[in-house]
Amino acid sequence: MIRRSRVLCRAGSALVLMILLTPSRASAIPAFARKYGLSCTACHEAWPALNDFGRAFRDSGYQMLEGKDNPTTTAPGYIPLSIRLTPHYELNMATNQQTDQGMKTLKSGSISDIGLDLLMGGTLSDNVSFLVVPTGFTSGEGVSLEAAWVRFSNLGGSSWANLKVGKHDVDLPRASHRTWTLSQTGYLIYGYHSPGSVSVYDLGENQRGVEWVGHDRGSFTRAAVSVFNVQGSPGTRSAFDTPGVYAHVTREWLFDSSGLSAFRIGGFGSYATWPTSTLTEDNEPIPGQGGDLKGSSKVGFDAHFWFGPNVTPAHLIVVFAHGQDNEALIPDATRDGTFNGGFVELGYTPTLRTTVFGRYDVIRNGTQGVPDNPQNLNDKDAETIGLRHTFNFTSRAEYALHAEFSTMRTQLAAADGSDTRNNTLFLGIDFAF
Amino acid sequence: MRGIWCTGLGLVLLTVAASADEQAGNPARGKAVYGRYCVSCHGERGDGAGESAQYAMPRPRDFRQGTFKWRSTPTGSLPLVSDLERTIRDGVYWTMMPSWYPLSRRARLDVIAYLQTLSPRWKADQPGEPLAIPPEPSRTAESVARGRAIYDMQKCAQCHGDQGAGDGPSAKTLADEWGDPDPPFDLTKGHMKGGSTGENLYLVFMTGLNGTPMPSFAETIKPDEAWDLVHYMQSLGARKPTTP
Amino acid sequence: MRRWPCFAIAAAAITLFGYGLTPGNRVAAAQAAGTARIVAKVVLTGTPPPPARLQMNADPVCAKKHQTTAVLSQTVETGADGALKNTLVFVKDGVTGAYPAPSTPATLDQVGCVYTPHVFGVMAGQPVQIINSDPTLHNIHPMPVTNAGFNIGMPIEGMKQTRVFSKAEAPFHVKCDVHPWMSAYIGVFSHPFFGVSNEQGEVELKNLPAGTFQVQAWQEKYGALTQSVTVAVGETRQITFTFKAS
Repeated sequence: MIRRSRVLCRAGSALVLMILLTPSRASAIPAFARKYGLSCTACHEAWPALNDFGRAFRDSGYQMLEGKDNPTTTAPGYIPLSIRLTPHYELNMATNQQTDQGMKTLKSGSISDIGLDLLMGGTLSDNVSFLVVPTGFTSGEGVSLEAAWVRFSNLGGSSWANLKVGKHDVDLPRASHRTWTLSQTGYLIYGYHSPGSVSVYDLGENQRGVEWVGHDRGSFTRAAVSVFNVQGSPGTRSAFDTPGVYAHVTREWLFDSSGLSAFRIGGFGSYATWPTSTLTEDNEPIPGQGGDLKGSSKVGFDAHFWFGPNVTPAHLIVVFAHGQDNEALIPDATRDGTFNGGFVELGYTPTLRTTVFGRYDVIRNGTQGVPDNPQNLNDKDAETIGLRHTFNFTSRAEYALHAEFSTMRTQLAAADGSDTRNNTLFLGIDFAF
Repeated sequence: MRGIWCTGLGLVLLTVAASADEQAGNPARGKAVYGRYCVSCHGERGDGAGESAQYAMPRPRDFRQGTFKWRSTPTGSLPLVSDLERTIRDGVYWTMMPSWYPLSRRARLDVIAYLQTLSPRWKADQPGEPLAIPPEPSRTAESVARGRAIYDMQKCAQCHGDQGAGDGPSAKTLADEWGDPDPPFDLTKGHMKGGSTGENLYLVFMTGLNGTPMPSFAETIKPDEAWDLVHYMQSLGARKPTTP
Repeated sequence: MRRWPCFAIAAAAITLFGYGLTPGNRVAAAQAAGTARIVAKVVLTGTPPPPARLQMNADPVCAKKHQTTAVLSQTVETGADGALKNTLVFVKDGVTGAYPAPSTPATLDQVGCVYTPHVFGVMAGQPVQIINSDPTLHNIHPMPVTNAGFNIGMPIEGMKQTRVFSKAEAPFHVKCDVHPWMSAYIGVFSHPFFGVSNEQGEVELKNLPAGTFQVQAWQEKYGALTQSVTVAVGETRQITFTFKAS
């Protein structure tokens, strides 16, 4: 029991850390719409999720490549700055939480003290683009740079040679920065680790490093590889002392069909190290002095299906991955921990204004690193449903009603060994300008 | 879990097998495509007066006249669907019109079918007979020199200037059929507006750009001379580095 | 009975000859020629705008052709007693029946970097011959709405182009983008009852059948005036259109 509670404690703190580190909502960038005169629907299937045109624009380095990308072609008053924020009411409920008064359900709800995203992105010259996203700005918290990178595009005139340097989001099967859901109980597979693992490497977290992206015309075939120093690692002494790598390859086909109008398949994999020891002083870890790197990995595939007309699609996403954490990452483990998981997401956009969406996330542990742990310890199921209705959108601004409910069950996570459940209700106005 | 994968796969096979649409565009679907991608510049009514139009120069196309610049058909006539498809697919360089290559060809054909409902001309007229383009002869220094002689004989310099920089004596007063200033193109810019292939250039001066001051010279330039002129124009563009 | 074809041929020949005599920009002979006439007088009251001199400096070839005399704008040209020239007068409504288009082309000459004539009418389907009499580049750029427009570069002196407007259409502008001062107007009609006012401001619509017609006078600056006119067989009616210079 002692060992188990320790594991739970670690798992719990990892979870808390994960939630704290979960990147804020990010990008729908009206500055681009202003620059190119397009409404948000041109680039976004339903903002902030990109469509094929928006993806190609992003892959081209925020360029249309029609001689109007250089900042000198814009009016002098143009500033590549957008702001997105989401005033909302959020109600949270967590069951089977241990208190001095026994196992209780904890509730909290408020008009959230939201932060905001300053989205600064554009071109510095032809084929050199940038994105800087200061985020936070909430009371009691500072401002952090969620993203800050410079990208050199079309090196040597080839769309297969694009290099990004800085803090960037890796090329996820479904970008958690540009998705419809706003509650943070989704995309569990991105940040999941075998119970007890000390690694908090999260695919959804922006990483500091270098990314190479290559794509064909229209970005139907594309590949991205990021090499980085794992974000959040306590071992950071030098640029790549906690190295990680992530790669994603996709291919998309468009069909001359009103049934299945497009299909995309992709494969992705990551390997990220994490220190398992650290130098100490008075038994306290010395920051930045971790060592004995051990790895965790994930490998999986993603499939996207677009049903119905391209402009008002039902978009089905299936993502599956197998994950593994080295036993050394898990205290008391005698073997590597493994797990499988993924999600199925469906978003239907019957009109340019309205999107209904739902997602089912699942995590199933395979081998527990600690043999005594029950097989299903920390297995998770999460369901999310919601609606976004954009009241108005132009090439200048957009604002939408966002309503979302999500629920997540974590097996055997409570102190008494029972399951816990977290429910979140989210109701707000999401706007960007 | 397994059930979901199987259902997904089944849906794919079912829908791929079930539907193969007709070749021609569907104007109703095209209207939806237009509403998503085109309306901010070309306007709700297709009048080229969308919210961004006032910041665009040249202005977005007003679809109500059935007047289109980039065609393979003779001056004044309607373009082929394939001409419009090319403009939408590749965009118009140096303008706000982006390349809609990432859209499906189906979406482009649909939106063209919708555009064809915006002008009565599409009901009254047929697109012109496309110009036959002979195969390109080799691009030699002699061909470029002959092209320069044709440039002089056809008096291209009256608008485009002696060195092709768009600074001829008539340059300042040129306006399009909507009354907006429409300066002659600076041929030394490297990248041409309607596409930089030899065929693209050939068609520009052999069919003219409807709605603009650029006339058709098909009556006075013979096909082999036209290729010489293309080669001369390409030599003008080569003097400046091309933006990729 | 054998003589019938001879008569037919002779009649046809006379008809064709008759067409041949009729300038394209005047009233063409009608197939079933009526005997009524409408004689319109177009006048401008008030002070006409001072004649504007055309500046042709942008093309030395044009300027050279007019070294000794100033070329004035043809937009408003008046004669004695306010007679207004270059007004297109035509039957707008009331004509029934089909009138074949003459095969004789109407002529539009580009000479001295000016269009001659400045305003004219043609029948739908009648050829229009466009001539460049200048050793410079003209682009002939009519901008009809109903008919298909065109824009042809005419860089060579003596070059001719023949085009046809196949549908009746209200007067539309013809421009030369190279020489922005060049301006002409063409009206296209389904019948031959149209004409352009001369120095005396007079237009004669002849060979009209008996009936009631809406007759319109169209002037590029002052717009259109319409009158209802009834003529009997053999009758000649005098009407006056009065435009006001504002």
